[in-house]
Amino acid sequence: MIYSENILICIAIPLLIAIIFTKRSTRRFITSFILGMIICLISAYFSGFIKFVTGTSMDDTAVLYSPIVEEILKMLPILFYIVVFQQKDDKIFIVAVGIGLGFATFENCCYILSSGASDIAYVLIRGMAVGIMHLVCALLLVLGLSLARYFRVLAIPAGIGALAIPTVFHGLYNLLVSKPGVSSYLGYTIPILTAVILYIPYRKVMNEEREELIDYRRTK
Amino acid sequence: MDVMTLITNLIQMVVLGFGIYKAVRHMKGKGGSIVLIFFVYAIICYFLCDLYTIATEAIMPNTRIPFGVDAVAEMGECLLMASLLNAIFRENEERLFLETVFSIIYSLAMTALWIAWSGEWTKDILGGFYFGYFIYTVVISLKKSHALSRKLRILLGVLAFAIIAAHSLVFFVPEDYEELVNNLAYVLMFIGIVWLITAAIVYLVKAIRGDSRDEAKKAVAIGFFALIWTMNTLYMSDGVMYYVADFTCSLSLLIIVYDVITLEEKKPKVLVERRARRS
Repeated sequence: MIYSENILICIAIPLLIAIIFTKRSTRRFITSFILGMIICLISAYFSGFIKFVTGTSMDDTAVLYSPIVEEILKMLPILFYIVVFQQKDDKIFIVAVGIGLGFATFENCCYILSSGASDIAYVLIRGMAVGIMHLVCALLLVLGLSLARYFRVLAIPAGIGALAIPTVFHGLYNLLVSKPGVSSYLGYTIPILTAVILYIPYRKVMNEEREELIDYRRTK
Repeated sequence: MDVMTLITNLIQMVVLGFGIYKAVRHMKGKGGSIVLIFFVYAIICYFLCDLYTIATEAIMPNTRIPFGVDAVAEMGECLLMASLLNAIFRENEERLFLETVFSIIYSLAMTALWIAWSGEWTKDILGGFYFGYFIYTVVISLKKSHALSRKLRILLGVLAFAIIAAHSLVFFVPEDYEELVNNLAYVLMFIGIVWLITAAIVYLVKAIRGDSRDEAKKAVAIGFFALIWTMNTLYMSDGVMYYVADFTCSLSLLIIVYDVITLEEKKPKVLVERRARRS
């Protein structure tokens, strides 16, 4: 047994102090990172409750229900940030990345503390797969929510629809890695592949924006 | 793992993959619009749903899932498709009382049938909500587009309720007549499929050949009606008929891919040029 709450306090305290000494986007990132860790803990409570209510095994709960709980809980603060603060897309992306990474970091910490970190190959796979998977899910979610925001007519169905893609992606990953063998190797590669696919258009957009900025400065 | 399930899902994934490719290619060349981006998002959701179904069949066959990731995936694809239709037809103002009443009563009857068949209350009630919303959106889009005359729309409504009535009768008639009534329901469902898919193809060809954006909108409305009819038939079928319905669902998805691309191509030239410059 591990004391998840104590681990959270231990990791969060230096980050909380760091918030005082940082500004703007760094502060935003650190805050959302801590929030991601808290969400991870809360979703573990919820998943435990669902396991108790439905009477399913630990593995089945992780495969069938945890993705839904985790993605809904990750969506709530992002949705709050979008609706209440009305921020621009780049700021929302920072918050989403922070929440995704905070979630993945805390989950990995708890997992490694409970099952050991002696096998470096396994630790690498865990970091590359789960870490990236939560990041990709957060990015997919924020992409969908941004779309729903711009699409003002009936944004609620569009927002719920946007939640579905990261949930299925997460569920697919959990399902594939639940059984050892070929399916688990497939599961481990899916997040990295998706991250690469998402990175290519993102990089293109960033390059275009940089070129536009350089042109603008030249004309000035 | 059931081979036929694998084949039909793979066919659907190929169609959806083709749809994603076509839409992304169109966005690269002529710039993206909110309709096209939503379309890509909706078919990615559909694609992931199929992938998840195949993975579940392979890894956890015969596992009862009262409400899981698969239900969320289906909810996502229905709501995203409905949002897409709302985006296309939001400018058309119409009185929609009869259509709203039809959608509500039909969704309630359909949900009751699902519960009677499967016994999964949570999944079916929630499914009734989002599928009902999708039905509502498709029905009002059909009205707003003026693709079919009032008489034909009423005829379609009557056919839809006749199918529900035939399926419900199976629970009440003596055992000797069960198969007969069941077959009657299948005949009605597949008459609807043949009618709507033929109409969808005809309207698509008209939209591609013509210059009018309204023609393209009509094609989209008929295409989505064909899709929802095939999806509904799929949920109400069993055995071989299930796979046939699944195949027709893939066919209507392919028609929709072309419908949406054609609609984007019929955009006013000023808008297209502005988007291309921006992209």
